[in-house]
Amino acid sequence: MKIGATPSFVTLAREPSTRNFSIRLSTDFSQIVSGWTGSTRLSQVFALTDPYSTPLASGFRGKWQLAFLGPLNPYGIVPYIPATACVWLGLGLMNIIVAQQNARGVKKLRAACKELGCAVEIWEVTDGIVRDMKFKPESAEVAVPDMAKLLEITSPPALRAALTEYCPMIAAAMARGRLLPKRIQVGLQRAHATFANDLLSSKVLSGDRAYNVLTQVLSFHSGLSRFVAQTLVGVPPISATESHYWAHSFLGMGTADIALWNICHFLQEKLGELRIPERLSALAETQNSIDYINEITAANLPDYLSEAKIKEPKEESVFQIPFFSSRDGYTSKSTTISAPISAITGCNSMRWSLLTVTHEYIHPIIQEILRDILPNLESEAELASCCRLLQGQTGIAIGDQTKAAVRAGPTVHAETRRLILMSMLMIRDLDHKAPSFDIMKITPSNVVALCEAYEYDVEETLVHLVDFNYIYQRKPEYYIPAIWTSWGTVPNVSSRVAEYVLRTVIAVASKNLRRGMHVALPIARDEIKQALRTLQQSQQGGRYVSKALAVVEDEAQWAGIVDNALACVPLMSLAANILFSEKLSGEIHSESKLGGSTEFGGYKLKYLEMDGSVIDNPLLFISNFTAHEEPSAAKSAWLLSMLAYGVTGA
Amino acid sequence: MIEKISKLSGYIVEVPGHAFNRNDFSAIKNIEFTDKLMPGWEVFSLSSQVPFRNEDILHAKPPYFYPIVVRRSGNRAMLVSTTRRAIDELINKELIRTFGYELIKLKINVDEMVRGIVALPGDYALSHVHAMLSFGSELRSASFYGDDLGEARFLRSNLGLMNFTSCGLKRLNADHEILKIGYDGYLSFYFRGIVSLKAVEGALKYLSASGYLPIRMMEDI
Repeated sequence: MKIGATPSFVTLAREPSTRNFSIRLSTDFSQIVSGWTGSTRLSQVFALTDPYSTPLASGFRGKWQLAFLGPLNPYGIVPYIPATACVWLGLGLMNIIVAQQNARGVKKLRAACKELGCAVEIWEVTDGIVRDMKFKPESAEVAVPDMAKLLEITSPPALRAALTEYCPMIAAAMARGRLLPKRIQVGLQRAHATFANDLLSSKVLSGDRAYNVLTQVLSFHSGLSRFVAQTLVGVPPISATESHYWAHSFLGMGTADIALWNICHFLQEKLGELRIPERLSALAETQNSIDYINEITAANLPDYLSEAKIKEPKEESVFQIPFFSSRDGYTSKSTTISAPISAITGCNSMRWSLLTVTHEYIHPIIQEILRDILPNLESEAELASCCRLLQGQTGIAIGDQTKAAVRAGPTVHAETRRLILMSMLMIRDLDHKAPSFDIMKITPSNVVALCEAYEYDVEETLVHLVDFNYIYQRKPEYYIPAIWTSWGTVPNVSSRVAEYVLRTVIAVASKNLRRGMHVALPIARDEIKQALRTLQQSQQGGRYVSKALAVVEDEAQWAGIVDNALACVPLMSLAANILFSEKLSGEIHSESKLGGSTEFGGYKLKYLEMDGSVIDNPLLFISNFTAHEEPSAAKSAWLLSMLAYGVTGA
Repeated sequence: MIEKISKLSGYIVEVPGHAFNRNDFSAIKNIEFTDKLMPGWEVFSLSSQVPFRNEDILHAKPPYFYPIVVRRSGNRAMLVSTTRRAIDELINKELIRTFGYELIKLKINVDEMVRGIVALPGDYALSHVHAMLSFGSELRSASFYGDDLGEARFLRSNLGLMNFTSCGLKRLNADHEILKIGYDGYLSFYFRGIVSLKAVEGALKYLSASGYLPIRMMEDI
C-alpha cells in the first residue's frame, strides 16, 4: 500500500441556500480558501494506491457510498476493501475514507469495522451532495467521572471559575473519547484523577496552595482543551463537530495526536518509569562513602541510579496530555506537553522533528530533581546545611585543572546538591567577573541568592545533558544537527546564539569529561564546527547556523564559551556520573524489528509505504526517518500514521 | 605495489645491538626495494614460491609477490604486509639467514595497556578489545566494539573479569580505527595513503610515551 505524494483537500460545506452538505475533493488549496463560506470545513488527505484505484480527479460525480472509518492502521483494511475502491488516508481520528459505487461493498465494510473494532460512518453522496449520513447512535453508557466533589470547591473564586470550565471539558473528553485507543482513555482518567484526588482533595484551599493548584488546573485545562479540539472532532456524527484548527477543521488531527501520545507514552514507559528523581532521592539514605566522586576521571564509579533501592509506586505516575500548538511549539508542563503544529505537515524534516519532544519530556524530570535537591528557601536549617556542604570543600577537581583539596558530601544525594550549588557559584563568579562570595563565609542568604538567580540555568543545562546522554546516546553527530535544526524554527534565538552554543558545548564536552577539559573542549569545538559546517552546506540547518559557526570559530568568543563551560563542569560531572545510568538506559534504544538495510538504521520500512510492518521504538524510528530535507506533508502523514498505528503494544 | 586501501599486518621485531638499515633487507636474495612511502617507511617486494594467499586456486603461477612495508627505528623495525604469512616467512626464514639468529618479536602487554587507557583516557580511544574471560569453558572470551570503549561503564565495571588480548585504537574524534594490537606483538592497520602511516606513527608514539610499549618506538621522527 502506497501513500500518494501529493495531498488533496477534502471539504465539507452547506450548499448555498439549502441545508444540504456538499463534499468536494480538490488539489487547489487557494481556490478552496477563496471559495470559503461560513460552513466550510477542510482536511488534507492522501490517496492510497496499490492495490487501490487511482483516486477521483475531482468531486464525487454520480452516486457514491462514502465511508469514514478509524482509528486504525490503513494496512488493516486491505482484506476488506476491493481494489476498485478509491481510498484516502487522513490525519483525523476517522483516518480512512473509502469511496465505492457498489452498495454491497458498504455491508462488507460495516462487518469489517465491527471485526477491526473501529468506528464507521457512511454517507450516500450524489454528484457531491450528501444525501444521507448513517452512524451508530451514541451509547448511553459513557463513563464520565463524578465531578460533584470538584464542583463543591468554593474558594478561592478564581479556582471555582476555572473548575466550572474544567469539569465540562473533561466530561466531554471522556464522553467523546470512547473512540480513542483504550490506553489513551485510561490516560485521560488518570490525569483527571490527579486533580480530583491529589490537588483538589480539600474543599477549601487557601494561600499560595490555592493559587498553585489554580495554575495547574488552568495549565491542564488549556492543554486538554486543545487535545479535545484537535482529536475528538470529525467523529460520528462527523458533521456535528468541527475543529477550530481550520486546516484540519473537517476531520481533526486525531491521528497526529495519537502519534504524539505514543511517543510520550514510550518516553514515559522507558524514561519516566526509570523514576530517576525517586532513585536520586533514595540515595539520600544511602550511607556509602563517595569520597572519590570528585575524582571525575575515576574509572570505577558505580552506576548509582541502577543501585538505588526504590519502592513500588502506590499510584501510577501522571501522564502528560500531548497536543499540537502553533503558539507554544515544543513546551512542557507537569501535566501537558506540546509540539508545534507545523510538525504535522513537516515532521519528516529535521526542522520539525518530533524527536525534539524528548527535550520537553525531560524538563519535568529535572524540575522534580531540583525540587528535591535544592533547599527549601524558607527553611533556615536546610540553608544552613547547604552552607556547611559548600564550606566542607574548597575546590573541585576539573580534569587537568584540579584545584585545591576536595572533600565531598556524605551521600550521593548530598553530593548532587553540592555539585549544583558549586556550579551556581562558579557561574555567578563569572557573571560578576570576580568571586562573589567567600565560600568559607557563605551565608544562607547567599545560598538563596544563588538558587533564585541560577535555578533556571541549571535546569536547562541539565535537561540538555540528560537528553544528550539518554536519548542521543552521547553521539554529537546526531545531537548537534538535531538541536540546531530545531532551534532554526525558534524566533527568539537570534540574540542568544552564544548561549545556545554554550549549551551545545557543555553537552558535547561532557562525553570526554574524564579526559579533562583540556581535551574535551577542543574536541567538542571541532565536532561542533564540523557538524555546523555540514548543516550550513545542506542549507537545511536553519537561520542561526552561520551565526553559531562564527561564535565557535571566533577566538575571543570561544574563550568566553570555555570559561562558561568550565563553570558547568560540576553539572557535567553530575549528569555523567550520577544522573546517567548505562544499565537503565539500554531499554530506551532497544528495537526488535530491525533486519533491513542500513539505509534506515536497519528498518525494513520505506517512506510512504505501509505493508503491515510495525516498530517497537518510536524514537529510533523517528531518528531514522527524519532527514535534512524540505518538509513533506505526505511523508509526515506516513510518519504520523506509523507512529499512531504501527507501534507494538500501542 | 600496495593497493590504495589495503590491510597490512605483521610485527615489531628487534635485533639486539644492531641498527636496522635498508641493506639488511636488500641483501636478501628474493627481496627487492621498490619504494619509499615517507621518511622511515620503505616498501620491498618479497617473491615467494609459496602462495600465501591461495593464489594457486586461481591458477596463478609462482613466483608470487608480496609487498613488505618496513618502518625502521634503531634496532627495531615494524614489518607488515598484505598477509601475515609473508611476514612470518620473512622473519622465520629470510632474516634468520641474514642475521644468523631469530629476531625477537616484541610482545606488548595489551592487558595493562587497556587498563591504563581506561583509567586515564587521553587523546586516543579504544575502538575494539578482545578479552579472555574468567568464567570457565562455557564462556571463554568476548569482543567489544565502539567509539570509545573506555567510557562505557559496562566495560569499566567488568574489568575484573577480563584479560585483554588485543585492542584497537582510534583518535578521539576520528571515524577510522588506526591500529589493532595483539598481546603477541601482532599489529595491523589499513593503509589509506600517507595519512594513515602518520596516524600509525602517532598512535605508536602515544603508546610508547604512555609507557604501554616495552620500547621507545618512532623516537627518530
